[in-house]
Amino acid sequence: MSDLLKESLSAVMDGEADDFEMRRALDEASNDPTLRGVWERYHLVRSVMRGEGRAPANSLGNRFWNRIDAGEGADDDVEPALVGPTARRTRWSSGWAQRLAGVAVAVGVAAAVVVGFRTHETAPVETPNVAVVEPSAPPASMALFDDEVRGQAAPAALDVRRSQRAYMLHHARHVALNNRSVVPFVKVAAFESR
Amino acid sequence: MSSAARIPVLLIALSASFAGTAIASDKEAERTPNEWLARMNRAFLEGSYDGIFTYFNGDDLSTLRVVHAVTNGVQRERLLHMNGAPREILRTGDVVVCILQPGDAMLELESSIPSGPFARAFSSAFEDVSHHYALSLHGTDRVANRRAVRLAVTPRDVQRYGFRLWIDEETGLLLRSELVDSKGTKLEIFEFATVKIGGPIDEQDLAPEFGDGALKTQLSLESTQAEAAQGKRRMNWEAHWVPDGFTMASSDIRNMPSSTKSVDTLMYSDGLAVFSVFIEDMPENATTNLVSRSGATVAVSEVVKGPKGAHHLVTVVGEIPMATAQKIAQSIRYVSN
Repeated sequence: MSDLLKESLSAVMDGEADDFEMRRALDEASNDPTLRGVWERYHLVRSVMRGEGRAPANSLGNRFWNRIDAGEGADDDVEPALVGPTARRTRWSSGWAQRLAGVAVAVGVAAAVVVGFRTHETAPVETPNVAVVEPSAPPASMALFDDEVRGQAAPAALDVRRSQRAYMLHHARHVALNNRSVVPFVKVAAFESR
Repeated sequence: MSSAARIPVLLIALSASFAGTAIASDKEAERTPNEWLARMNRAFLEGSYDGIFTYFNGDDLSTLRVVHAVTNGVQRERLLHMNGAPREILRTGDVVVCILQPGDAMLELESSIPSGPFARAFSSAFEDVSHHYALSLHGTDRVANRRAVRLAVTPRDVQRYGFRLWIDEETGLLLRSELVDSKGTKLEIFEFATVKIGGPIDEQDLAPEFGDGALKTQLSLESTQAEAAQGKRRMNWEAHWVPDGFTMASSDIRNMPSSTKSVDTLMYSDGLAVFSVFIEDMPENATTNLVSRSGATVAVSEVVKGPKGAHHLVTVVGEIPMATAQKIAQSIRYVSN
């Protein structure tokens, strides 16, 4: 894996790659096991950050959480700066939470375009493979707000997704009403915001 | 709370299970986990407090103010959304009023599923949850500038999630909670940023803020008699597999207002975790085997065969692991009476 490629991949993860650079890095990644491994680790971090619970047991993502809990900061294995120039590493270290949020947005938007915003048509229990990430995701969309991204879902899945949201709301409200507190209603409202 | 939604279930169920075994203790340090839970339950339901809390579901962060007081034996509460669409939820006794603005997407969703009768099955019907969860104390910490006792509620198998609780040492109020999966990943977090506990609550702090032009939806709990009559309707559908300890809390058949379609609804709980099952005729052009996730809540849709070989769409929704939800959905069977 060339230094140039490492740098490209790092740029992709940092949301700083242009169209061409992103496409090249992803193409290369699909042919290079080492690079793919790096990408998958980033993906795991994103999944865990988003609470999707997809990280397999003893995965890097899991260890990462444990380290955050222990206040140790990021694990070297999952630190995107490792494959990038020293300058990136410095910035990462000085604000890992911010950088990680950037990774989550970058990978999250790419995944959303493919699978339809946290809705999947296949069993989601398995760890997502790098192959599902479409290089065509425009970097310009990375900063979209949630309500703007929402409109990009695949039309075919909209009906069932809408009814799933309605069922989630119904479930949350039922649970909330059966408890002697209004606090659970925060959850009812949470289903609207996505 | 782990999820905010999980807390109260936890409170009621755990207190029902453990309160009887609590032994009075003069020193706080000597309280058992069960006593802490019983105390937490009392503080949440009977105390007065006014605080700002955040709720994180793995994707979105919400900030809310909650005001709670008991006047003349009646619980009064107000929940105010501090960000996003202006929303308020008020509760007086068993009556809950939602105040929303016209055009709020929550209204649109409400119309998709009718309210129907709400069976109050959770507060009493549970076996001892300690069969399925272990309780343990883990020292103290600081939340909302207050000293908190840490309590872990650990599931005894992988079919349900666990909880980490931070309970106010002085008053017993729940200050922070996390809902965690079997790997320790936090799926939902609830935490008070600041809270005033005890003392009188000003009447105006319990009054709604968004009066003008707002829409009010009233939700009220059915009486227990009505629940007994229709809370557990005989259904033609049943789950052939549910995780150990889950029992049916309610069942019902609802009509969709927008069409002639009816939806069969089953609800199960183990005392803390709750999941719902919705069964409907196969919608035309539906994409099947779809899953969604929001914080700890998953929705899994599967196609099953009903009477005369007709296809039906089963959707399982709940705060349970995805694999568990899928296994439940695949086990739903039609039974002829």
